[in-house]
Amino acid sequence: MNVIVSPPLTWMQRVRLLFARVFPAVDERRAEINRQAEEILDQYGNSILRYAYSYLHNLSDAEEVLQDTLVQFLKTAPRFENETHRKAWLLRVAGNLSKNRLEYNAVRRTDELNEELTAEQQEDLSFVWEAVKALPEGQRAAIHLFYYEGYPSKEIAKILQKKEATIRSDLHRGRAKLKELLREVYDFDETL
Amino acid sequence: MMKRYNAVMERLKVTEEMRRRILHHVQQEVESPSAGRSRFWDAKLNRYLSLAACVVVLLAGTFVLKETLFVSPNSPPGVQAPSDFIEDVASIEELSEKVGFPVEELTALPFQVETRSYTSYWGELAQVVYSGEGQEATFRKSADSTDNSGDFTEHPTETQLELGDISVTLRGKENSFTLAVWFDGNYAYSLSLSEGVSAESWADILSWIST
Repeated sequence: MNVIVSPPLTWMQRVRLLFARVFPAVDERRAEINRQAEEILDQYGNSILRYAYSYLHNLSDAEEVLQDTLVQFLKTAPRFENETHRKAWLLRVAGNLSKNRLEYNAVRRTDELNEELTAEQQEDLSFVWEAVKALPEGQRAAIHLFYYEGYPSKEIAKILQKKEATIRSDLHRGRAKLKELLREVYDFDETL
Repeated sequence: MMKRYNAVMERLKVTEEMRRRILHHVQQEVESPSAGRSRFWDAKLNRYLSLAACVVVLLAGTFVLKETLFVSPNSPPGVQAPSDFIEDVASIEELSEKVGFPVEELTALPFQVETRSYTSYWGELAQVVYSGEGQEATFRKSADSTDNSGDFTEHPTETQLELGDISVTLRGKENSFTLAVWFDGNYAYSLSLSEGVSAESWADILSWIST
């Protein structure tokens, strides 16, 4: 059984608890914030986690990016036309946070996914994962958003804040590189 | 090949344990931002919380507080509780008080206003939402110079509207603009409409800026 142990409360946190008892509306607002975070986590948590992992190749880092994306969402209070717009915003923030983290992470940490695939002797999946990992960051992100999330190049351009022509080029080069790495073992869908 | 890539990605999931951990940390982060992420908010929040602690000491009694609080003998009594998180208030006056700066009530909107809602975000951003005749207008004001609209839509058309010394950026499509953002040297403003109007109509809506 996993037990989550909270750290001892600081005096500031004790004040907040007493404040919440005196002003119960604060608890209601806290519940609303929690509700919003849970809603995003339930709807898009996996997508954000996987997208961050495609950048960072480490589960702990990807989890922190997911966490930071939620915080940005709660603090910025963005408004959206529709759910598609909301998801694209979340992925764009997650991508930016992941890129920032890459700049500061000098030491590569464990790639749990690769370890798991190796341990399970899932060589075909491991080959594919290693091949995608080997792509330059821009191509890798475009490949992930196109093939895994199913976005057209125009939407990928908005998420990655690049020109659509650049995205098409990244997809083209990424596919070419993957073919070379995997020696045409697997089929590709050539449609953009 | 990409089916295999997708199969690889499907292995990554937000587990229950990860979910609990993330929600716990998000709550903590929102309540008490890490050092360096929001130094302005940290300084402001700590000051108000110190003052609020003194008020709680006076109200709750020595026995409960002496084990949980540090009391500063130099803190002034009767201090107003700080704005916290996202808070709905009842009036424009209350909203102005929450955010610490005057918030204007808009009167020249392109529809008959039936309801108004006033919200303070973190005690830093004031928002008033006007509704009526099936339309909505969202007015925001903050004590900085950034675009506080929260509108990340890609608007194909952008133009400038000069009102006195203020340059207002209008965004929309062709001659139908749904968003206006501007900075008056002290505060950032934004007004978004559910139904776009022409630049000329915007000049009427925002005529108060140049007065």
